[in-house]
Amino acid sequence: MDISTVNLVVVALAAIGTLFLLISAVGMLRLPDVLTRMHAAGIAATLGITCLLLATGLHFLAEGQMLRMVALIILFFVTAPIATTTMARAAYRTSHSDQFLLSHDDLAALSPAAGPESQEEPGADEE
Amino acid sequence: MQRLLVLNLFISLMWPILNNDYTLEALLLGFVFGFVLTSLVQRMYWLYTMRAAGYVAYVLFAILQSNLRLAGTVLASAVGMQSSLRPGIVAVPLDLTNPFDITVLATVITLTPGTLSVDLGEDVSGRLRPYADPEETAIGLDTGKSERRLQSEESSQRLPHRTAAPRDGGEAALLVHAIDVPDPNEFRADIKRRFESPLLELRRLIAEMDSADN
Repeated sequence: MDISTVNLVVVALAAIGTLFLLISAVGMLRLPDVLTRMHAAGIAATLGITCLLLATGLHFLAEGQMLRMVALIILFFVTAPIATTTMARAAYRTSHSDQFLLSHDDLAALSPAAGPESQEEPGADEE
Repeated sequence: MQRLLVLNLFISLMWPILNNDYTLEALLLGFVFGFVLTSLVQRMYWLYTMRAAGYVAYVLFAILQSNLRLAGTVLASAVGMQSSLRPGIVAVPLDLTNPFDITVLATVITLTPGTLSVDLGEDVSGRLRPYADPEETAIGLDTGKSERRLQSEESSQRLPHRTAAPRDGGEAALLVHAIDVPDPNEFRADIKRRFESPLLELRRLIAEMDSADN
């Protein structure tokens, strides 16, 4: 591949990555509640980061940085969901379900706020 | 089988380190060596690796796809076109029994923007309960165990894919938050078809090979 072609790909990847980071930021500001905002953060965590790291790896291909970038992407993909799940769970457990915009909530049957004595509460009934 | 895959990946990581050659090519070379080695141990290994790689590729494609869709949703809501988001938390009862498989599924669902696994529950004959550790119930910390075991044996007959021993409780149920759920039942079926059934296939393949070994 020609040097300029590589540069073009690098610039394109970096631009796409940055664009998705921007969209993610917009989503963080515009979406209604914690859980939906976490979806917006997911855009940045997957496509945004991946594109930026791939661009970096391609740009420093001669220095052999590609392996490091691929390793970073894999590590990111393995660790990010754990943090996301934990945060979502904590957010749900520490707040009342009125604080979320939910059209359908199966988790209400499980939430500790309902307590063991009131497990007959609606929520899982829709099944 | 999974151990072989881990061994293969370990060898492919060790190769660049021992060669002091930190490039992608060295990693791939190491992977090929590891692949040949593990194929000597287990003849069917390549099939498993192919399927697993296929699943990874499929998941990456699904991530890309849902990224684009979610980006569209975000942009639409930013300009105020779409005000009718219907987020919801849906319990998806799983056929998977292996904790590793459930972890993989939860990770994949969280990685896909637009869906997010929030919690893990247990579906005991249609009622949602907190997830009980199978080992805890196996020691006998749980009362009402025999009744629930009976139920799970029933359900294990219903599901021919089930390969691991039936859990003492019901099926695990993943609580998935999705940003737009028009129809919970359709959403459940979608998750099961797109992400769970390939994992079930893989698990069945592993069981087949293990039984062929013995």
